[in-house]
Amino acid sequence: MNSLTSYIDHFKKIYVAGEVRHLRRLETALERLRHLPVIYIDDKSEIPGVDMNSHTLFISGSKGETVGHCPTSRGHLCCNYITVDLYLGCILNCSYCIMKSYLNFAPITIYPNTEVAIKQIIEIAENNKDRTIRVGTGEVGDSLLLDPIFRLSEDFIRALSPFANIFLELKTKTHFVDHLLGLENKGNTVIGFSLNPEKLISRYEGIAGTLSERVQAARKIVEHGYLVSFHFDPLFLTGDWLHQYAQTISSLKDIPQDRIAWISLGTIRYTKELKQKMGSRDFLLEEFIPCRDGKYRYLQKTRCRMYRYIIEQIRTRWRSPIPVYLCMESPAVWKNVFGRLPREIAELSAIFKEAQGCLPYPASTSTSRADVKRFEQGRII
Amino acid sequence: MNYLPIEKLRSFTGSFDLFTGSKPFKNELLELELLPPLPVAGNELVWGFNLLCSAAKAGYSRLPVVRIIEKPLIELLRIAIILEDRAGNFAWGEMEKIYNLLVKKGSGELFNRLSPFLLGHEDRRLFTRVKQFSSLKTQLKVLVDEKLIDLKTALHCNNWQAALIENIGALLRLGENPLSFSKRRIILNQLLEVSLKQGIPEEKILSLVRNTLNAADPLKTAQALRFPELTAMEECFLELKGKLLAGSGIKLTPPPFFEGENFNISFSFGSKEALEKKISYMKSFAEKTDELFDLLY
Repeated sequence: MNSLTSYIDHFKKIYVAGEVRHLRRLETALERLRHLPVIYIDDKSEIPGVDMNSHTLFISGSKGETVGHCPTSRGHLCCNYITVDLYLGCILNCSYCIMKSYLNFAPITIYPNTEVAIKQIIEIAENNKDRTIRVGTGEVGDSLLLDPIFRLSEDFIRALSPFANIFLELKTKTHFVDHLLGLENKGNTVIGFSLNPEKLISRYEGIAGTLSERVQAARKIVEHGYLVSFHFDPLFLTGDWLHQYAQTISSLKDIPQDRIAWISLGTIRYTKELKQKMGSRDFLLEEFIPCRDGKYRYLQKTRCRMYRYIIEQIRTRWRSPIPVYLCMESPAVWKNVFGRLPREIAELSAIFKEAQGCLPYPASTSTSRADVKRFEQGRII
Repeated sequence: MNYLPIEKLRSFTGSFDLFTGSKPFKNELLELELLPPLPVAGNELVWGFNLLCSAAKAGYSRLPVVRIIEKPLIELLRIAIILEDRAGNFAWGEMEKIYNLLVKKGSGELFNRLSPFLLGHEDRRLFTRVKQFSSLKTQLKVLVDEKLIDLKTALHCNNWQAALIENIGALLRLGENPLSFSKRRIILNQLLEVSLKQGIPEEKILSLVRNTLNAADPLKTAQALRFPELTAMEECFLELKGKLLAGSGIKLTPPPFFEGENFNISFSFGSKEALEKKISYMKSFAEKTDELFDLLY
């Protein structure tokens, strides 16, 4: 059992930047972390080099936008997900974590001021009443890992629950849901569990919760009126992947289909930079090829085979159509796996509709010209 | 300018004799007695061991020196490295010696400060990389310093027996048309990954490397071993192309790595008859494309 205490013990020091030090909720959170030294500073540049690591918690006001679009990927279909940065960075240490290649600030950062982000999401929802707005806090950190201490998700759940078109997703690899059970209005809050077979969790997902912990948490949260989502992402091709994933999907048998908001699938993918940081992981010995967005993926034929199999397992488990979508996949793969593009699939069209309003799409993706050239010239390395 | 007898300077050789790749001192300058002063700190010659030997051979009895007073070790090393004037061309073994000297004097953490002078640019990972080099087996250190393999590949091979490493080194030195450093790196990495994935025992790795290096196109051979499924798809595509379009003058190209949904065809024609002929080829080709699309999905 991975307890919250064992995660908290990972931290050695807390730095609090001036602008948030008087928040009442911070007092409560710091009381829960009273064994840790707290240093008040004006700016993150004051954190000494020796503490620039994941053992440091940095609590601060955000310097920029915390609400944004999920970064699009060149040549791949985007699901128009809106992201909120609440908890930045992660201590779970999954070997494939993409954040390792793009977060350039090592301390785990918390933005306890939630008002601006909530206001912005409500504005988007009101401007898009005919669309489903999916918002998630798990893009740059685990939504629930530190939430029992800081309780930031509650603000979002309370404020967004009256909006029928907002689906707030709290994505996690933990089982820390107890603090959310007693909330009165849940609205369309979705607790998203990233899943993999137990064998792969223990091999690649650092100190994240076990599969059974996550599944039990999913059952519990459903009993308390929340929706759940499952993310089979990243999927790994291992010797016995067919059996492993079938078993994992089978472990979800008690979850009623009408409480599952969506299921996403995505095979393992990585950038060149991430590969440097992943070291010599055995999953890297499979055949990966560079794709249009510069990320390395399994061969298209292999990915299609994997998706088709997982979807078949899902359809066997739950007869009615649950929205299943692919994360960062190409139109070619969508067409092969589903026979259609997402906007042509009834249960997905609402999800994939682009929200209009105050959020600009990222100006560019992480794909470099060298990445594009490598793909077009058919060079593996 | 101070002068010290050569014999005395010889007794000053100790900690700072770090460089194995120093440029030889020019005889013309020796003949003209145009010698730079040698830096001396306490009883240590900081730099100029090459010059000291050459001067002794040329019959000098004393040499000009500059006394450096109260400078920390890191400063003395910086002076020695600047005088070497080989930024970007220091061997790993030389950098390891510098690092070890700093560690011995309790200042190992300062090593990165020397990176601009050693490499010609700042590199905050140099400390880590030199430590990695230091962890290598002697045989691998030799191969890395000879630029036969890169540090990263060497680290992966560090569990191999010394004899296997020596044999692979011998193979790499042999080739009649030596491969570029970059190609060697790619080939060795791919073969290493093949051996890890297939669990190839050490005694068979040497023949795997030998066969690959002796192949007509070692890079292609290594790639075929590392990417068997992709290679099979490429071969299948070529076979299908030959079967379906040979002699037609129609060029067929798959999407890169069979990633995508469209094949491209192109052809040229110079008359209505030629175009009609191409169209006829295309019609017959269109009826037999199932196997082609099987390559994508």
